[in-house]
Amino acid sequence: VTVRNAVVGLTALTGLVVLAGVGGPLRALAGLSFFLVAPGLGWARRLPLRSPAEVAAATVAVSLALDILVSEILLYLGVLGTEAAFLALAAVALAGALPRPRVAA
Amino acid sequence: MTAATAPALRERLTDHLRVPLHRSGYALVANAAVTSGLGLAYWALAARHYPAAAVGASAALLAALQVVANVAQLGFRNSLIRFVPSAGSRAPALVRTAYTAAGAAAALGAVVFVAVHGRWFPELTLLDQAAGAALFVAAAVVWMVFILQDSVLVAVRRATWVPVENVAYGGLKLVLLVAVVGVLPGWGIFVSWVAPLVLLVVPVSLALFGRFLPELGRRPPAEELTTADLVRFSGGDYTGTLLWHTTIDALPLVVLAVAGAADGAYYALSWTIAYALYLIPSGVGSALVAEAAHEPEHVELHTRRALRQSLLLAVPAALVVAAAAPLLLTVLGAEYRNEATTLLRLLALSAIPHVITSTHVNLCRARRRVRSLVAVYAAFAVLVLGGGSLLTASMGAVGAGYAWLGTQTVIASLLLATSLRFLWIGRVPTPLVRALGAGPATARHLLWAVRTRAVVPSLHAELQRRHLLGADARFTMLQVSADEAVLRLADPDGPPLVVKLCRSDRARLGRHQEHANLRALAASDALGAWRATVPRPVGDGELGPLHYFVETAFDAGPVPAEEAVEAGLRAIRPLHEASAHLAVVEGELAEQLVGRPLDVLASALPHLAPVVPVLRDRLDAALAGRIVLVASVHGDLHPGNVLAGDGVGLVDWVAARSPGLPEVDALGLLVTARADRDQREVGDVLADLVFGPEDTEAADVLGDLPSAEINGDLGQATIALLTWLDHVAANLDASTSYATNTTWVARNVEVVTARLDDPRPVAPRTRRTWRWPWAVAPAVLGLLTWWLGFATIDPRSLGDLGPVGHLPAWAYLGLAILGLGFAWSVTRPRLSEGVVAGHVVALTTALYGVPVAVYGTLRYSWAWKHLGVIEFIDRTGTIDPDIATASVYHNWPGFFAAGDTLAGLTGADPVTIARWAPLAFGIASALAVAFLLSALTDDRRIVWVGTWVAVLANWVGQEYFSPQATAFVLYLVAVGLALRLRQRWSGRTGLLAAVLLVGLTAAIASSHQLTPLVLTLALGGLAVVRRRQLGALALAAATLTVGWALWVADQFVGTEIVDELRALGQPVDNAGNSLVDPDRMSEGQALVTTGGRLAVLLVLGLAAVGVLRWWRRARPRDLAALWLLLAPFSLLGLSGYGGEVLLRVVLFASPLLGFFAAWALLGAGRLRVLCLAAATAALLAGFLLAHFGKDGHYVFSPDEVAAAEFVYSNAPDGSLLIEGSRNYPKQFANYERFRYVPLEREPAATQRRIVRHPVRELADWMSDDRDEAAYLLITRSMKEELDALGVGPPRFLDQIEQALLGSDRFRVAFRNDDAVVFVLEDRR
Repeated sequence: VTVRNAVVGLTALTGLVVLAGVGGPLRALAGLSFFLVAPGLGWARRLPLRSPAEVAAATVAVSLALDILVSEILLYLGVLGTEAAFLALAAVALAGALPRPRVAA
Repeated sequence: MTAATAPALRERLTDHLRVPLHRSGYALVANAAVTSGLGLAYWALAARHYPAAAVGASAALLAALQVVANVAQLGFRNSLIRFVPSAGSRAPALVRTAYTAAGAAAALGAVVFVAVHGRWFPELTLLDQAAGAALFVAAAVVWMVFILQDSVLVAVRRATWVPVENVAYGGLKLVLLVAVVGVLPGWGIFVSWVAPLVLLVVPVSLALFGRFLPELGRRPPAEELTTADLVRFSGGDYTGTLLWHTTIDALPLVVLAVAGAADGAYYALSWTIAYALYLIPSGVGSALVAEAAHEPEHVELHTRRALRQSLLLAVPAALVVAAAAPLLLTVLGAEYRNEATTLLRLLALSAIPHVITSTHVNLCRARRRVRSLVAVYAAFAVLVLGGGSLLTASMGAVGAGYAWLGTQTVIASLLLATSLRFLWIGRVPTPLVRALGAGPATARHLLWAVRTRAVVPSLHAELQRRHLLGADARFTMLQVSADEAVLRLADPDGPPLVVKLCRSDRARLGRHQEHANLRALAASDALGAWRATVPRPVGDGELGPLHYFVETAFDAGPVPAEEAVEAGLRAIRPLHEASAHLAVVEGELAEQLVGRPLDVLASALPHLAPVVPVLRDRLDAALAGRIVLVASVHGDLHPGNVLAGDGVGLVDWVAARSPGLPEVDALGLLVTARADRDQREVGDVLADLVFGPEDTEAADVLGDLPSAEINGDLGQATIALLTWLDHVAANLDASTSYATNTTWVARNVEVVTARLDDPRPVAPRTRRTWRWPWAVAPAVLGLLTWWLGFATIDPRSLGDLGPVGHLPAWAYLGLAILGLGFAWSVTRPRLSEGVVAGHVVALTTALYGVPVAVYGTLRYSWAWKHLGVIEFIDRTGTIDPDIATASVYHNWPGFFAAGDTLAGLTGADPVTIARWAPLAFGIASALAVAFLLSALTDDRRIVWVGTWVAVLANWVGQEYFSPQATAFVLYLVAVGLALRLRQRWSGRTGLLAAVLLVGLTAAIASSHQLTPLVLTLALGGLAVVRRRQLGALALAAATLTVGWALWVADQFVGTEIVDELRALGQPVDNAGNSLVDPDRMSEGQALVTTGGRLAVLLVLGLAAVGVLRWWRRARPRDLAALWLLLAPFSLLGLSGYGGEVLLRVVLFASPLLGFFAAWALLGAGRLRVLCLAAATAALLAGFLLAHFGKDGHYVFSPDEVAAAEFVYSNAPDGSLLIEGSRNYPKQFANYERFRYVPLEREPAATQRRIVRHPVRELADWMSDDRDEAAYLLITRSMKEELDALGVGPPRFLDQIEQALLGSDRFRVAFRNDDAVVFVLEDRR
């Protein structure tokens, strides 16, 4: 499972349950995983960290920071809502999961 | 125990556990125990958190799921264990087939159940909805796979995964059970049961198909397996298993029907206890099937081991249950103790013979003898149910106990006497076996002797006709065997003769060969006079159905036993010397020495066919291509064939051959003489020589042989093995009676085959992989023990010391196991970071997760208050920086905005999110500490010990649902990134890290007031001690911090700035204001305070020692670590932080305190495990007191939550809420609508006035026209807090409550056991 697939998969699943209004444990699991992992995983994975524990710590922290910043911006803009927050965070998450630009030889 | 025996015992234990069968057996037995325990805990917890109707319906639904799975498993549970090990490269396909077939059957079964449930089980409303029905069907399929994957794990020798997997499943179930109660009060039980399955099926399947099965696939298939074979086995096993379960499940109904409901209850509960004992041989038996499939050549060895292991576990357990039966039944009530003690004893004792029957059943599986398996289970069904109904009718429930014990004993005895005879026959003394067999043998021989004597006249006439003897010759019977009789003829007119009268073709062929051999010897001139030592063939012929052979006899008798070996060796030596020549062991010679005897063995005893390749490999390794000295040999030299008189004669040359190894003759003579002397079997004596130490007598005999110089280096064991093979093959070839004589086979053949190459754990790779489940076992066991201990407390009556005063002593054992496990694993020569990290996560879960699960409600009033801000944002979509209450949160709203997003994304109740937040923040903080420390050192032990100590030192309770907890995690990672920026990262990576660091800083700066200050200090210091370029990031942090405070939170800062400026530069005062006066507190709370302070002093002391060692050993290039330790202390000079600054200093310093403490602890050389364990114990004591000590009033009961919900839901806008104290589930909804007056915050004089005139004073307060309404709330936790902390007059709130209850001016608006809400009766 590549990082990109994980981020895209998690984002797609969460998008499905959030935008379709599905409730229950699946939504709780998907939403929590997305919130804690997706926004930061792609970015953290770009750092040359040495162990899975380090990657996990950086992923969760960067995700939390992005969750906070995105939610706060939406709040101050007066548009904070579940769908808006999801779309914004999904954009951040997918941006992090984009392939790295190649360096010209 | 002496010093010498301890290592020996340890070595034996290690050897014992290195055997895969033992490991798997223990793992599966442990799995059964742990699964049962977790199952009990699960249902106990379910009963506590869910309404009875929900528990009943869910239990029924889960029972349906299990019935569907049991029916749909189609016998694959055992057939996978049996066939996967030998399937080689076809194993993955086999497993996929099983998954598909059983999964499809499960889906079908589930669909059928869904379709018909409405008729019989209308209560299962979940199945009425399409989503619920789909979930049930999907759950049945996943559950099926979950069950089957355990079988596959056993089959691939990863049985140790099974308990780990099931503990993880059980743990997840428990967590989810509590977690989803708020979301799914009706079907949360079912969902919590089903959801974790996916989490475990996926990784285990990945491991199985990605690694374990492919590893197995590198071997070719070891046996033929067609689809028909698989269907036959699975079908038979399925039938047998159904019979067994029918027996077990039907007997309670029989008892109920025959003896009545009370007896039915006695039986059902006694059986539940005793059945746990039945699971022991069942678990070990599964391991037996797998190991026997891996090594079919060692099936009997494995059977012995499995039996021994099962007995070792089951017998003491059964005896203990039998002895303690009254005690166990007392738990169920006096009636059970009086009525069911004997029954339980009988059932427990029946578990002992059940070990035998269960072992047999699993041996049948191993040998693919499903008919025998079905027969045994059918016998059980008939005897247990038949006997049970008869005996119960006359004796009551105890009759069922006798039925079980009797049936088990009878069937076990029959099996031991027949198919399991090989287990014991080899250990019975030979004289006893011979005595037992003497009767039938004597009778058979007598009959044959009578028949022989009947033909003597005809024989005499025939020999006379051929002129071989005279008319006066006399016959003497020398020997009678199953196939022939040997007679001696004394003829006064001629030389004595021997006649061998054969009655079977096999015997006839043998004697033909003998005569040919004798003729060859007689024709060999090289043997010269020695030829007189052997008989001379005279003739042979037919006599009706019999065939006779005549040869010359010696005028000699049997040689005395003590002289037999020497005489025999002396007699045979000339033959060996005369015929000796060198040869290479290959071709015909190899075939003669090894190939043909093995063919005889395999053909006569097919069940030993798997052992033949092992024997061939072993002998080939010793002999193939080797030059040996061979000669003509006798082939069956034993004392009975050595005769002595005037000279020495050697008789019975049936097995003579050339070439052969003289050593086999010599050793054969020696061992047969020894067997006669010691009354042992020849095979048994040879087994000693094959597997035992060098035998000096044998060495002497072999050393004297003329071939010793050449053949000596073959080794005694190889020669003994060849001699054994020769002996066994000769006997099997000579008569069919040997092969059918299971006693002879067991005592002569299997005594060697069973010991060939004792299978030991082989590949180091396998050893490494099985270790980690055991390495994390202390973490799992410790956590589980702690959890179970914690679950015994009543959160409503924690009292002065919190749970610490109520936990059973064994709960602390859990933490001790966890601590020792960590100390052990982190000091291993080869560090496993996964194992160590697992212990850290387990510790964090024990400290932060277990209380959440047990308390059941959201702990700590501030967490409720934070929920109120999220509720405000969710309700209004905005914030109000000028709000009267809790405006600080509206000025730093990052955490709350994100909280609202999280609640929206998960669709979960924010209270549930807040409840579990401590566990999430605890684990995230621990990982973040490790992240930070990893940037300071490459020594991973320092990192993990530092993290461990940091977790233990951080008792200040800032892991609850709060901006501080979030900001702390972000702070740790931000500092970790900054540290890496210096040396490791540059260019694009460095830029990304810098950008992320700024993002983290921005999130911190907009979420919390204090953390950005610490971060700015930390980065600024790092810029000084490490790299000036970090100054830009420090400046960015400062800018964000100050910018937020001055531009976004300006109004709040404007009102608070005066107080903050007063605290500036007053470190002593700020620290002093953080310290409470223990004299005011209760005794328990004073102890709590002291515990926290001592813990801080201890870790400071350790860190001080560590700093010295770090300075000397690490020779640090900079002072970054030291600065990060000291930076938080500078907060003391900046702010009082509402009297909490000292606690926050401990919080921010804890990672580096841990880091330096790790330097101290790991520097203790050989004592480091001890030091680490001792430090853990001391810090844990401080943590438990300081962190949990206030839970007596921090934990709210559901009644208190209900009272708060009443107030916040019913009070109109603009109401006055008078609170006994702020310690209750406060302000979590609509909070901005009310005015709050906490009585604990009133000046002492006011409090005294209220106590003197509570009705008058409070009525005045609550009559204020400015308020729309007024409520007074008093709860249990408020009272406990004020009493414990010594706030207000003694029993302040109790006095108020009593006075108001007795007053007609106040009315109780809401009341339950733990809370009361007053309103004025007539508010003007």
